[in-house]
Amino acid sequence: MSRLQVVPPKPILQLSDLKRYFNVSDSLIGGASGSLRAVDGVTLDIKRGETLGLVGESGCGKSTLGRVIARLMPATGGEVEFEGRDILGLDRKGLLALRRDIQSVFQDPCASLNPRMTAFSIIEEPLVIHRQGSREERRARVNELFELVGLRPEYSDRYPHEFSGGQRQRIGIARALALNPKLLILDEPVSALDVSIQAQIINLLEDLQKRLGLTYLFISHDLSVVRHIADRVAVMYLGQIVELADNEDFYARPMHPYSMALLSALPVPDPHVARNRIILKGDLPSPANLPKGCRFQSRCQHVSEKCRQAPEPPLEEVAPGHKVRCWNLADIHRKQ
Amino acid sequence: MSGQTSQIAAEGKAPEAEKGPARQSLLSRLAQNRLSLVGAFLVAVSIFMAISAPFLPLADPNAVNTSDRLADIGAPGHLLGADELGRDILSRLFWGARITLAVALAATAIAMTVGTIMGLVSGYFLGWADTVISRVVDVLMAFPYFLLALSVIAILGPGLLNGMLAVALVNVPFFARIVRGTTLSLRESDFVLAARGMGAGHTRILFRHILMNSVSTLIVATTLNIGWMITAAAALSFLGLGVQPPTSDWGTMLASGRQYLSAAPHTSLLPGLAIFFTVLGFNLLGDGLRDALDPRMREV
Amino acid sequence: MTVHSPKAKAADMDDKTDAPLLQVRNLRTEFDTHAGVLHAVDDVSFSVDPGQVLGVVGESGSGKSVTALSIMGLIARPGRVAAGSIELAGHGDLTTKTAAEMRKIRGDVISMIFQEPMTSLNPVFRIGWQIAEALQLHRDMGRKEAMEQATDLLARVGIASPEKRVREFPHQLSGGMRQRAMIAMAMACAPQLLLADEPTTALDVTVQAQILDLMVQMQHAEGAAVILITHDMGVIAEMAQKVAVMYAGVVVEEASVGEIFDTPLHPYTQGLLASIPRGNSRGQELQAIPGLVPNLLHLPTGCRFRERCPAAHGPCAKAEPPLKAMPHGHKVRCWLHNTEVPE
Repeated sequence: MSRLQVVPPKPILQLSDLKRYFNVSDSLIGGASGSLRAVDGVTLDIKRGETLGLVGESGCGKSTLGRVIARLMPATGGEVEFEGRDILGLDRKGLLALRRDIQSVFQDPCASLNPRMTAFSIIEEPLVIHRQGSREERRARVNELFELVGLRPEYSDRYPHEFSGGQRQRIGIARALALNPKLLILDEPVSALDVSIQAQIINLLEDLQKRLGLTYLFISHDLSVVRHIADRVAVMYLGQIVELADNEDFYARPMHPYSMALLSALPVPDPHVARNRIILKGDLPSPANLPKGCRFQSRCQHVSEKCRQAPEPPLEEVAPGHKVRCWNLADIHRKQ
Repeated sequence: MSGQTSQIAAEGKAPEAEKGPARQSLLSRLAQNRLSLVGAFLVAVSIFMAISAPFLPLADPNAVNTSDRLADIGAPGHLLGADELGRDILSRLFWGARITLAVALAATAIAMTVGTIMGLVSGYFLGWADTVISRVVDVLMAFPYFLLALSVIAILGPGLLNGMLAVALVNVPFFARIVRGTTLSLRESDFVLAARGMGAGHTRILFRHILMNSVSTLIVATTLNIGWMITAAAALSFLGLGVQPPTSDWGTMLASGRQYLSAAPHTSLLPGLAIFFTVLGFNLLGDGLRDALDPRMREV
Repeated sequence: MTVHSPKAKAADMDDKTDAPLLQVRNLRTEFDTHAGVLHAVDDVSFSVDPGQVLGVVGESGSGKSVTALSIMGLIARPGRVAAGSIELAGHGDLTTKTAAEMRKIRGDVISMIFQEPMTSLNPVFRIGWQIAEALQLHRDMGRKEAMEQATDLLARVGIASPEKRVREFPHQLSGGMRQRAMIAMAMACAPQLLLADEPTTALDVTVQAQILDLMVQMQHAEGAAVILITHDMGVIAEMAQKVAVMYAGVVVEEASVGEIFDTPLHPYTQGLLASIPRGNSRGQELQAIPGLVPNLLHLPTGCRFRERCPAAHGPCAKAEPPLKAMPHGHKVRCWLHNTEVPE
């Protein structure tokens, strides 16, 4: 198992200062326009064979980050290296080759499958695009993929609406696996599913990772699912990573006030647990209109003068493998 | 992983149970709507008329016989009477159906093809292609329909082919708008994103993903459009700008009969009714198809 | 900020409640579809006491939302309430009410909060106007008075600068604020019963915490009973005093929240609890419930959970078990806990 590897080799994916801005204009007639900083300077490594959980609330930029890495969206700045090669400047041919290595699974399996294509042609499509194998070889490969994700090959001529939500997500996973990728971007892959089906898909993903040696970027808003599946956790807030740590470390000792609030807000399925919730004030500020200084200041319980005056805090390593972006760590954790 | 396999086996059962509403064919859903059945019947009748004309023992539609001028319905030898030149109206209705439907179908096919390509390109690539195409469509739509058709004929000259091109051109914006709309929403869909993620090129995305999901919209639009085309083609012929004698469609029959409206109303009434019922048929069928293809209806 | 548990309150409500506020008996709601009659809710019975929070859990297709809509009298064609009764204390059987009578009750005695506040608020009317509408309808208030009250309500649900917000449109509010406005609207006439259908599912976890907190506060202040519909066991554990677990149109288990989590009796409830990822489950396979929720048009014979049930045995295929009362106010629909097994 990957978790037990002692000497970590070079990371499979390295992001440095990755940025993705969107242009926004406030009104129909010109008006004030600016940029929405969906991803604003993300530096992050993903190790080969691990599952990195990327958590955050809607609008924090986690899906955008996944899409930039999967080259579904251009970056505004920064670098992405996959297996040591820069992937942002690839030409057409290089990009096509990269597609074999990085694939995505989307949140809503209903929306991400073409309703007019049969399950077979959906899974076969990547093989056709990449001109892999003869018709017979492709058929064999699709059947193999069907069995790999736990679907019956007999159903291959059915259309997506004839499958249930969980089965559709299996089709989406099979399609992503068709080209033998090394890295899977899983964008909320179980959020649209019922609880009991969710468990089936999580088990499938874990099993596939073991069997195929895959690396996962697991994007989710659900901290309990991430706790179950991830090796490391990165918390994103308004386009930036605010905390990055190993799973056990993160859930046992969250350091950033935002992570602490997130974890305390999580409803626990146990009526006997006495709750001590940190209720955050207000909503997420708009990423188009960021405050000066620390981005979390407007909702932070521990906000101080420094958070408003000083520049943004850097993401600093406070313990081995545990990075946090906060000015007041010492104060906050001395109090507790 | 024995737990895994047993759960898969159990999960596999579901589609059988789900067969019910999902597996209903388009035809059976269409058949549940009585009005669309009426429409399909009317369309079938007019298509039968057009196809069967050469095979039926009909009188020569162009044989002039002055002794039978304006013969009434039921006159010997003329089941539906004869026109001002003594030509058999029944036969002319059958042969006219050929021209009328051929012009309408061909014009619709041209309009649909051109409009669909324009809509796909402008909705998918956006940018300057979209600007140019959308402005062309706006300009075309700014003209009153008929005035535009008349100007085309004024430039190209009257005739069957030119009349057809004229009505086709008038309808290009209709299809371009519809397809651009569906393309705009489909290009943002997750399955198009997924296709890009696996390296699909523009052609594949446009045709396999976007066009394939616009087909039902297009079928409905086309069916409804044929009705309009029939009226437009008939109107051009009525004005003498479409089909030229001696060939005639329902529009020219209507035009030549109108001078005898009081003496022999059936000479104009019969082609008029033929146009009316065929157009009605296509419209009812189009409405029925829209309901039958609507995915929301399918979910119930 | 520590939040007081709503459970503390159940105790002081206990002594004064003999009659339940709402008593649903053998409710059956059907829908006509092309493929036949679909029993979305099939023989559902439960009761809610005044001031109690009843949690209704279930997956999609379990009939939990249809149950709520049936209570609200909002089942429209092609659906209908086909059988059963819904007794509301002081108002009689709601299933026999006319549309006009139900309009008087809805929004006044019973009100509802929906999952997606963006679609349940009318986008073309100002927030204040929409809240005031209920007051004008049910409380005979004038426009001005109703608007003042609306401002007041917005302040009470924790919306900053309510004077400004009453004049805004739904799209100008964030998701959390819209859900607060929905709650203000639902609480406008101080209803005795509040139906909340997945009120926090569309919200982020920190905002969910705010909204759950607000619901507890409002429920405390107004003494309203709440039927909280959710698929989230965490929310149930936090909010509910009593829980009804629904599966494929029936209640399979009903008990106090402690009983449900400590000694779940029905294999479905046990499976549901086991399938939740927990802190200590890392590296292990999750206990998934095999298979899928059955199609309501093609239910298996006998027990409807039979095909997914690890404990299915002889009698399960023969007949559907009844909802049987067990010790400690526990009720369960399972042959494992019923000795009157069919032969």
